[in-house]
Amino acid sequence: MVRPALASKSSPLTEALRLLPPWLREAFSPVPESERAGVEEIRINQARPLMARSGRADWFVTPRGLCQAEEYAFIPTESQVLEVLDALTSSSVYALDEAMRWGYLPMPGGHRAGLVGEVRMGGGRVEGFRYVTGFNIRLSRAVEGPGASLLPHLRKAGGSVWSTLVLSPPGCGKTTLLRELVRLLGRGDARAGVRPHRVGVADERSELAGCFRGVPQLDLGPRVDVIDGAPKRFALSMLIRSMSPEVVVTDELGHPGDAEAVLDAVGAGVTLLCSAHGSSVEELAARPTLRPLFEAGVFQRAVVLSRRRGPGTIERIVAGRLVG
Amino acid sequence: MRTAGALLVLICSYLLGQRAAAGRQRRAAELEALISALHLLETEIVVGKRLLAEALTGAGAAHPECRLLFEKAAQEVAAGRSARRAWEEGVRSWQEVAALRQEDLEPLLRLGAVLGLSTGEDQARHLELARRELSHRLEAQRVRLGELIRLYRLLGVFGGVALVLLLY
Repeated sequence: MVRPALASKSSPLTEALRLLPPWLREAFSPVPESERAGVEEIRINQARPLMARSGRADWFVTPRGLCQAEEYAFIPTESQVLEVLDALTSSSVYALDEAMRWGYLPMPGGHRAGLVGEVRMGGGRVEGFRYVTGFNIRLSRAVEGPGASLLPHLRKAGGSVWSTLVLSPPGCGKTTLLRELVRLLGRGDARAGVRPHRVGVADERSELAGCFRGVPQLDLGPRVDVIDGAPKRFALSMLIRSMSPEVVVTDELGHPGDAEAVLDAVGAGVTLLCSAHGSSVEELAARPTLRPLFEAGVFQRAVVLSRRRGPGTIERIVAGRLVG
Repeated sequence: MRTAGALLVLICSYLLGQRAAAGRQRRAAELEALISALHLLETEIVVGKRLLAEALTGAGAAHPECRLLFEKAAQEVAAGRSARRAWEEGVRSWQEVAALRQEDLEPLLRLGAVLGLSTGEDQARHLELARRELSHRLEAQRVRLGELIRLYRLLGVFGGVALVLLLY
């Protein structure tokens, strides 16, 4: 049985290493727990230096710990890379075809491993990987975002919230903010005057809930149902048909068919909480794949994020019916 | 006393022949069970998309002749070993009690190198290849099975007679 990761004293890196092969634990053994706490990513590539990203800097993993001296770095072999793949997939690559097509593997604890290597194409689309030669393991951690301070701006009469679009360029904290809003809406926030809601999450790429074998690994709070790994057009209608949500949440709108799926959800009378890549409402409204949403006036609030003061900086809150 | 000794030698020799003949029969039964279990494993992987440890357990459960191989491998995978090592461990454990020959195990060991590490379609191809090799061995064994059983039994009886004549 897969259980959500429980809060523990060890760092996300130490937690993730427990799921990885012994050679990797050994390679990181000289790194003290205090340094491990800051590690956000591990890069494992065949015949290239083993690296860790911490505090916006890249470090080589060496027998002396994390340092900038490349010549001492640990170099993973082909069989060691295969061992990592084995561990990440529980020796069941075939069972994770769909996620691998998207280029990642989910891990317990909400961590996820990005994949590189030789891709196999078929019928004009990625069928999977012929050879996986590297991983970028992104470590998940609980981040306190600006959700609580944002909630009063999204509230409408009756303790509910307006349909909201969170937008920013990549890496500005859209997913983190959405996750925080899901948690706040699920529990309700008396201070912000928002009552608890039944929330449905359509998590196409397992980023919002960090599901592992269908179980959310990240804290989303109560009253939250997740459909993991399904395209939005299926996940949204499944949630609405079967779970009667008051709010539905989905990440990264912008693919053909997304607007249609969202419009169907609006027709069902639910509130929407979505994100999209972009730096302004005008830019998104001009995009053919999203234009129908603005023409229909689906969103009443937009939150523009940036990294100006770190990920999750709220640049602007646009109020009113957003029309293109 | 001499007659009793001769009789004892004859009985032992006859039983040795019977045992060798039963070994040949067991090899055929094990090959057959193995082919069927690999078929089931393919279904668990390709259709059921079950994780390898569960797929191995499922495939072995219905085939007592080769359950040890699948159970051991499943245990090792569940304990975090790589599929290759787990499968090798399973083959090694089973080899100690099975009637199969070393060459019968070669297709299995080749399968272990790729088990679980590719798409369902690719796994199906590898499993089919292993089954085909084992089927050839089974066919060859079946053609000669009757002859071999008779041969081992006769060898047991006549070997015993020859030994008695030599001794007395």
